[in-house]
Amino acid sequence: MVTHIPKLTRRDFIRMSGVTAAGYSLLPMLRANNVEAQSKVTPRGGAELCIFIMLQGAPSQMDTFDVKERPETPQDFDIRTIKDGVRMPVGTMPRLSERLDKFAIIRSMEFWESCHNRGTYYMQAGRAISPSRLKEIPSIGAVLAYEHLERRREGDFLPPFISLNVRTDLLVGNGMLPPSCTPMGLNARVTPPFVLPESEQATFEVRRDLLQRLDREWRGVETHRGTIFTDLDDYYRSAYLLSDPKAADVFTIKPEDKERYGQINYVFNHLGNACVMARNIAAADAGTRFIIINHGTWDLHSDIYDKSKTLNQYSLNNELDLCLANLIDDLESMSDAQGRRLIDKTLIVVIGEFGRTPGALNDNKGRDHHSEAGIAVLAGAGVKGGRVIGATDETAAKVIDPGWHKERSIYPEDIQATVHSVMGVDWSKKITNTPSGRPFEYTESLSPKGPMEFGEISELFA
Amino acid sequence: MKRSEVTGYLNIMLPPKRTTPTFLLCFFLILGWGFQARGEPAQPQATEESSGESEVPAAPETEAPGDAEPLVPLEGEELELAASVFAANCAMCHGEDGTAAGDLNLVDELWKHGGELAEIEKTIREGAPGTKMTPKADDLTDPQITLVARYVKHLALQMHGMTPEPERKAATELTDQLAARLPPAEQGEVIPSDSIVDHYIFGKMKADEVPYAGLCSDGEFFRRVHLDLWGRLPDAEAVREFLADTDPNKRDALIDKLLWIEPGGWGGPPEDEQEFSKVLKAGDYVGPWQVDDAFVSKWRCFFEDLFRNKYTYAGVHYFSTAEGLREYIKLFLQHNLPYDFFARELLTATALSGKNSGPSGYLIRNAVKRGGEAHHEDTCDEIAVNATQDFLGVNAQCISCHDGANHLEKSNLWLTQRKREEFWRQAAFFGETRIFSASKDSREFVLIDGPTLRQKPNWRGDVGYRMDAASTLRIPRDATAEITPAFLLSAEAPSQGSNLREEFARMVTSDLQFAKVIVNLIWAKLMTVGIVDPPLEWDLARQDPANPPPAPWTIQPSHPELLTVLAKDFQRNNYDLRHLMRIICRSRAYQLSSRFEGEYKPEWDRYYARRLVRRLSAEETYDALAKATNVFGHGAGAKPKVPVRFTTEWTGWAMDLPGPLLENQFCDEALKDFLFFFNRSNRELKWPDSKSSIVQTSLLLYSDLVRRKVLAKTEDSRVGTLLTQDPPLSNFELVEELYLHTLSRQPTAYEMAEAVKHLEEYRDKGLENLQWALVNKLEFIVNY
Repeated sequence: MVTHIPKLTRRDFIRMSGVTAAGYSLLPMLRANNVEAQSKVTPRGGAELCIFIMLQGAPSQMDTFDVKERPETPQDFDIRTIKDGVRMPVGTMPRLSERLDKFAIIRSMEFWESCHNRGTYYMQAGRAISPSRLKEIPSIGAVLAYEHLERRREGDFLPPFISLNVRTDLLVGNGMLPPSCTPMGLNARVTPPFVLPESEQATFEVRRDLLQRLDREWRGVETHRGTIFTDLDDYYRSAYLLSDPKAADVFTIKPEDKERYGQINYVFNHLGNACVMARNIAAADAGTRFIIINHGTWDLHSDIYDKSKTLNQYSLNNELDLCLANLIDDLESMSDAQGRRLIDKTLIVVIGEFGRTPGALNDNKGRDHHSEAGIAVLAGAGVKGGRVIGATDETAAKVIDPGWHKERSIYPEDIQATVHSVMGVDWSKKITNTPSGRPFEYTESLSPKGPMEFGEISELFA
Repeated sequence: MKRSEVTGYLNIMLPPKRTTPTFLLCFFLILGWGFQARGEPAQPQATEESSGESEVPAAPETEAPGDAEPLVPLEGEELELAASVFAANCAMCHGEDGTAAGDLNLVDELWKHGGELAEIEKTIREGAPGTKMTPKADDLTDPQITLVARYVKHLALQMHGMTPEPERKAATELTDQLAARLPPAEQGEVIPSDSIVDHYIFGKMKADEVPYAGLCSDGEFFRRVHLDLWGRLPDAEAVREFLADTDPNKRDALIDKLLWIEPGGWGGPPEDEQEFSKVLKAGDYVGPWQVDDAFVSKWRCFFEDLFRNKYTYAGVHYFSTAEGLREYIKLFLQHNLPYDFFARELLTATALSGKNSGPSGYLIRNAVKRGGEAHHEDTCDEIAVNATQDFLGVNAQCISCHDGANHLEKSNLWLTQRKREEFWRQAAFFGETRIFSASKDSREFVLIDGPTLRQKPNWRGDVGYRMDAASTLRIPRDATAEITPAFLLSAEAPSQGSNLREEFARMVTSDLQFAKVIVNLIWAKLMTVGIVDPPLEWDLARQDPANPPPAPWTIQPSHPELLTVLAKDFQRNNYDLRHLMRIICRSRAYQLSSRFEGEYKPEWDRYYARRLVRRLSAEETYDALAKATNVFGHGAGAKPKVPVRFTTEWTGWAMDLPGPLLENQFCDEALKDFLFFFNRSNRELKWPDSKSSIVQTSLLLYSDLVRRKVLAKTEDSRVGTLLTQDPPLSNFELVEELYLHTLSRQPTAYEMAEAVKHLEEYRDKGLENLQWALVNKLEFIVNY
């Protein structure tokens, strides 16, 4: 039996973006939204893909990228000055310490939330939860998917927005944007449903053929909505695309990758698998624009330095160190057909939903939630490696030097604007015809503390 | 009505001119909006006019130059002509309705080459250099260019409107796509029954000369009513029996059986639970703790979704209270308690621990607790928002932060007239309700009436809803205002010295709106779309046909009189949910076919002129897979049952699963993912929805979860059982059995021929392939 991979024309895709990914449940929001630019900002561009690693549970800034030597800090963190006074916990992050020139660190982060659900929502939506708008607010991934829909090409077999390991109740979806912008949510710890074992491929072909024959009875029946068999084809087409062996390759973890990205897959983590998949997605260049990866939980309220616990600062730092360093290395060494290095067209963002309490550990030998200081790490797509933006006080409790042109702490909204900018999207745009009637600003200008002007962190690039 | 007459109607029914009510509505709203944005006082009269052209001259003084372009709406033949010119010359690039992506989009308000009429004309005439937009001056006449330019503006303006009745619109789309593939309706005229439902539904269609679909076939009805009332596919054997049954009243009898109504009324749960289970034929008898009652299971899930019964929310754990509420809902359904009694219990329960008082879970679920501290007024706000929506259908979320005026003009007339102060007064009914836990980490809650527990520095032992309390969820309150309780709908104050919550519960449940809301919710579940749509977004200023709202607003419900009559009937019948479901299911309106022969107009769906197809819920989809294949476990080395609840209850049905978090601990990952991707409610703010996605399709087409269920070698699997019958079944019998078990219908002659051909070629594997194909047919995951 010949494997039939349907080829999509551009027109097919335009139709599909409305119909196919929607399947047969077309929703009212399918129609294009009124998008308008508010002011003149010039997106930087350069990135084709953003890999957004969410350190869920909130990482401890003073035990990671804003490391502080305090009485409670374990000796084997081996904190050393790497260059230009930048200190790193070499003991727990040896690989990243060696690669300091490949990524930038922001140490002047501040956050609006200090509760996980709300904070995780904020990181994805770029604004606070508003119950009346919850249904319509899309994730930044969906906005990027939406902005890039027009650039879908024939042969793009992957959806524009993919989430890996994001806990199902924490994932922000497409909101009011078309269903084609919905994240394809996968668990990297298991093989995705569409990756069939080779032994099953032939059976699948037989079954698909049978299914199509059983439905053939209806082929050509005309209704006032057109020929129904076309709709049926549309529904299956985007899913059939995933039966492309290339899709299976993207999501299959090869033994050598497993080796390199480590077996240290903790209870809910599997960061290694997710990073391998993200790298493969970048290399496949098959239409994906945003990947969100969940890593954690970093919520170490107790026994933060206790190596006997599965999750502790060592194990989490180690895993992030190994996976992020490998991801950066791989993207650096791989090039696309035009000879462009993948790292130069892929933006990597690593961030948690807030920071943790500085100073002495709490009664349970852990650290609690802290919103007034935190870290973010960015790499690729023109981000200048080795750069450190901002500084906190001696315990990492408060920002004392914002380190960028706006001369205030950096907020999640600024990160969001930066991602938009690098992905070539005007972050000041807004959609006016929302279901609630309230305009949706790509970067919300009404912060929890009132109106603020958020924008790109240009210091990362210059 | 004969079929030929239906077609005849169609010709007559075609209106001579296409009117554009949506367009007019949007036009005025934008006009009103424009005034406001320029700092002028809102001019409500601008939205009250019904004639567009007369209003336009009033605007110029307030309009900026260039904005005052007279927008003459395209109508009738002119509109049709414009549409045809656009379709022939522009649609291939810009899309039929101008919604092509990116630069080609004409309706996104981004006017790269100018958005004034003259500028659009110029772009059409001369093209846009540097793009694929070539000059059209040679192709189109000047009047045509003007017409197309106006049409482009027309398309753009249509985009501004909010989508009224979103669920009806989605259901119409789904039904349109599927209907022609579904079994045909029964022949013959539909004779409306004498029920109040048919009186109003068919009465309105007759009055407006709207044709309607035929009656659905017995097989279709059997599957439909099982899924609607029980959330499960019927047994194959039962389908056969029902089809063979010659009793003319067999549909009514079936409804009563599913609702457990005996002659003379509600039968109640039987003494002998084993007997009960046997008669229900719903699946396994699961032990002395629980009767596997599909009806209770389905509607418990419905109410748990409605009341957002969750085990953990915003860092607060409600294990025992959620458990208690779940049990109480079950009790309510098993014993058919009156719904008003149930609601009063939920609103007035007290508890010394959530576990010991089921109904207390409803209010406790709203506790706002940060770092162990209870925030009393925030809790009152949450209760007010949720109870107002759950029981009165009004979404008070917006007015919990600000007045409705200047915010809700586009969506809700009644709420634009409400002030935040009125919301506070609603919340103040819970000022004396005290919810707390004994210690910071306790998962047990106390719910009593009495002095308020506050953060230590503020402890005053005081009672009531204090306006000077910190607001952690909303815009700060007006600390200087004096707030006393008053009911949002009537401004009624509680009587002196009364228990405030009891007064609130009395006011809520005695209001006809209370009955209307639940009637409409149940109607929406059984009829796919509510008479008020969406069912929890009521606009109370748009309910009474005798007192219509100012134009351009229209009456919100499709059948306001029916809603009122049904609500009053519900009240008279002791708020009996089964009685209500029985009335609806027995009506011919419920039993219409999804298939309409001939040209159908989407607007007829507002009349319920055909059955609107609905997607199965996440739980129903999984349970349909399990039932069709008879494989209740999943994954490699799966357990035969899904463990639910700590130790006492085991079940194979997804519908029985408790809230999402508990599953993290007890539930199979694959099942959890399956339910999530099929959009179950997260019991926070996400109501279950019917959006489909590529992952859903992938799960059905490719996943191990489905592949394993259709294997002959899987223990107890349907395919395996059918293949090992003694004497062996013929290929014809195998196909028929599998169709009955999976799709609850007989195969068509064509399908039978194809399937048998397949079995002859592939033997045993062929039957696995066939069941895989059947669960992947679109009809499998809808109720039609």
